[in-house]
Amino acid sequence: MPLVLGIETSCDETGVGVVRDRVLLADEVASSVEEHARFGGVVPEVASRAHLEAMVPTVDRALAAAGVTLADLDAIAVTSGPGLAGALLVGVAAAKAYALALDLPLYGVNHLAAHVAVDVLEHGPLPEPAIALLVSGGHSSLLLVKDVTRTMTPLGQTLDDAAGEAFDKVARLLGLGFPGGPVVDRTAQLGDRRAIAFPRSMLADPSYDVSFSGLKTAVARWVEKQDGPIPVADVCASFQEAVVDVLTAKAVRACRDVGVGHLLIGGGVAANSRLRALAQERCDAAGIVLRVPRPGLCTDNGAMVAALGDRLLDAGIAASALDLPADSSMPVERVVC
Amino acid sequence: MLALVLDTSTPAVSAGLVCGGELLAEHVVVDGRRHGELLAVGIREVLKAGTPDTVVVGVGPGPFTGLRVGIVSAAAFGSARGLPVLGVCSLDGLAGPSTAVVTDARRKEVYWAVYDETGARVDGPHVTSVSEAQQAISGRRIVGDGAQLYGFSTADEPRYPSVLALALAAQRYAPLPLTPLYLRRPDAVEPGATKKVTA
Ligand SMILES: [Zn+2]
Repeated sequence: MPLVLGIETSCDETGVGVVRDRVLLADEVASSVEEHARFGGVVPEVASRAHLEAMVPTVDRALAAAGVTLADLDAIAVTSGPGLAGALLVGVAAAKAYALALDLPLYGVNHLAAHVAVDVLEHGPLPEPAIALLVSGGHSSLLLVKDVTRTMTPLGQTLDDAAGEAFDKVARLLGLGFPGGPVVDRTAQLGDRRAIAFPRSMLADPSYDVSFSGLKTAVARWVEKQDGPIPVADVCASFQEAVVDVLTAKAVRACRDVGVGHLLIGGGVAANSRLRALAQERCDAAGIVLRVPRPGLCTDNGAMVAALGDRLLDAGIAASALDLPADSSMPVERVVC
Repeated sequence: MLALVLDTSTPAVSAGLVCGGELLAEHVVVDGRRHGELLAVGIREVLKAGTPDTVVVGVGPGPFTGLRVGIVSAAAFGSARGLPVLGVCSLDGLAGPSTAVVTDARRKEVYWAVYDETGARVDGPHVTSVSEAQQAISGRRIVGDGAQLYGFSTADEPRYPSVLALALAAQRYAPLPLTPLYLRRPDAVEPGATKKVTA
């Protein structure tokens, strides 16, 4: 049974996972998020420095946690894009060196496909075709997944800010710190999501695209106009509702339009409790099976890369060439570079 | 010592295999934007000449993005094969007796180091303005890609570190940690205060 090591460095998490035949053996993450907090967002140079420091120790930790050695591995998989160019480069270079030193096949994989593939570790094979909604600080994409080992088709994406970015910006506006997703989610639980009618950009638009920059501006204007204390919990709850309303409505509509019965949600924003609840409600009403990995597998991690590598090996997909580039704008149609 | 030697501190993407003072194989491509694509191919090529027992890597100074490719490759390769990985100052790969090495640090600054008559580094590496470097290194033979670029010298060879010289530097100096010689801090700026709100 093949044993695959997965390396992920597309943003601020150095992730290393070990998967054997759809079973997760280890998932180690070294995050530089605290180093970015004082800048209010991910600083690419700071992320790249942290990846370099964390790379080999995180691989060693993952192997130890899995109870295997490098000599046991059958393949190396690494995120080759999309993501921050300098950050991707560290993981790709490390993966190549491991593959060379150990004489193993190397898969340079698409980060978004890895977000889809990780669900196999929890819920078994994904019935394809399916729709995937991937939402994080770096991406907001609605995809048609025909075969995650071969290609995915983009249906819609954000026209401006990623969903997670909108959470970060609103959190910053309210002085709640970085990253914004978890703190807005927690604060929103104390508020009324119907308190303020923030706009649902693109909701009525027939495309599957979304847009969050107008919403962020609307929140800023609303906050500025207040004379007294700001009802932060109500602002968080109402803002969050506007985001997840649009995302879930579009995702469910895509399932209906395309005629598929499974919706998968991934990415860091998939950890949002209201997104999960509303998606469940709407999928139940529409007769769609909703699949959301546990929060630890939704955020960026190495397990998702290993999970995809495992499936690629299983499907007999050809390995990548040794000169594979880190491609910061790798298209979703391409699963392996 | 049979050393796999890597350096990505300049536009030259270099891999070599060095035994004692002898160069067994070398793979150098000058393309400053493709370190990540080219280095592994170079390693694969030079490994055909032998099996290393040590990894030597130039840790700069130089542009950070490229530098990290070499360092993480060395660290991962060494870890995978269970080999010691020795960091060396990349400027030492250009050094000779009574020379100063000057390389381009962009933004009208240079990286530089000074070597005595035995070829030992006695000052540097530093990053400074061109004029500060000029004062510190005057009267010496000047090499490196910053030499011609900033009018220190008309000599344009050697421009890039040699893997043989880097292997020798690994024997001459205590190993450096596997972290780029950044010499500069990241450019990120902390944001100003945000609007104060109360719950
Ligand atoms: Zn992601």
